[in-house]
Amino acid sequence: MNENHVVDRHLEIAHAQARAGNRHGAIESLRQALSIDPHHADAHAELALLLVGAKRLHAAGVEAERALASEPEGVLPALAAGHVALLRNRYREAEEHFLRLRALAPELPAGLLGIARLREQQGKRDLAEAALRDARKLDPEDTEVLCDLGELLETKGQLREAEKLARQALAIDPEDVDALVLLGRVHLHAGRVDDAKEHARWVLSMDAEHAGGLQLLCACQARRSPVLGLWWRFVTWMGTQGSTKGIFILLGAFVVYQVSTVVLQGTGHSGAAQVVNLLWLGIVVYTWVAPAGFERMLRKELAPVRLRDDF
Amino acid sequence: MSARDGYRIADEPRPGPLDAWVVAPHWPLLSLMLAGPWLAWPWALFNSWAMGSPTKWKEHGLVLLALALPWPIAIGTWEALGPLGLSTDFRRALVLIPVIVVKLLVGYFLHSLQSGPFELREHFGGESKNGMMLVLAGFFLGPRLGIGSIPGLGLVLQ
Repeated sequence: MNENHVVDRHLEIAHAQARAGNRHGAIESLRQALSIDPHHADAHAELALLLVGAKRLHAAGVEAERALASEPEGVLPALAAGHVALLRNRYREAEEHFLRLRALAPELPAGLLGIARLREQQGKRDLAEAALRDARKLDPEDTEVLCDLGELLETKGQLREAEKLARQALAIDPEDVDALVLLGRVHLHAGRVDDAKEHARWVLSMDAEHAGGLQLLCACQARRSPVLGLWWRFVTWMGTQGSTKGIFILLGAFVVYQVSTVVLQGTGHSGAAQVVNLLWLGIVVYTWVAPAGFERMLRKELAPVRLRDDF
Repeated sequence: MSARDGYRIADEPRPGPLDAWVVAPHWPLLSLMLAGPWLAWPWALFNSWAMGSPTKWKEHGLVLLALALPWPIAIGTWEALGPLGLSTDFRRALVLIPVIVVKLLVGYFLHSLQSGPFELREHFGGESKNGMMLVLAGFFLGPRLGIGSIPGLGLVLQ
């Protein structure tokens, strides 16, 4: 077998592994492909996309650059570069890559899907929905498009249509984890917590590290305990802010606390300063106790979910 | 083929001679809160080298900022509060707040930058040391070192 065939074989294996939710295995397969051909643009691009999924931003950026350097007009390199730019919140750069992708492969929904994710990240939901509906017209059987559109509609409260899209995606691929998560989210939104949890467990039994599955399970658990649920909602909200903004929010709260106690003390309101101190202490204790409690609750729930040894 | 002998992904850990001394990034951050920058900054930079962090020069830059900024910030705040006619104690307490915030900001950013490579290192089976003893040593021994009384350095390192 010549080198090209071996590389193609590794890429096929990587595809299958990625589809099955085995990101680690797919990365290893691509590593093997790149060990043989270090200038394979598509292998670099696919590796970049997997690293984006793993939130390994630095490495994803390097791989996307290598993909573009190897094949500047390639479809996959444009897709990878767009998603890396999106993860870095570089919206204009992401848009350029996705538009170039649209021009390179107008028959593929990937460019519109990228633009839809960009618009959603920018908070322009209507534009995101329009892009997804256009993508669906291009390929009505693309489960990624169906799931993204379903998720968007679910967040807008259009549960019936979201459920229809989830079931449509599952009819195409009954083991599509994103579609299962979407259906679970619809159940949760409609107040059917047990059904939602069942879907989360189903997803996690197939892919124990699936972010959407874990989020769904956490959201179900948060409904059970209002005290710990508050922590989950706070963490989820902080997660949407990004780490830099998150740090500024935490330090902003600290500044408010410090300034208020110093000012209250300096103006002779020691009693009020004491109350602020106690309040802050309560928040600090809660932020120590709540994550541990939530994790314990989650571990109990996840105990039966184990990755198969031969996965 | 293992990660060691095949194609290398940019953020994968490159174990060096200091690999055995890596700690989780929250330990230097905790040492900043409980002991002070005199322990946290060198420890965070040592950790960065030990784990082969891909952002180690950015981390060095952050530490340089944390060393350079406290005095200008303190003097600027002191001057800005002047016209308010506050008592010296009240003014001093207010001046310390932005200084603490800058140190915490740098501490959190260092933590955030090192968390990624540290998690990846753990993913590849890398082990780490428990930093609790050093944090406790810094907490109890720090005041005896008299860093706060070194002219000009107390504000920066304590």
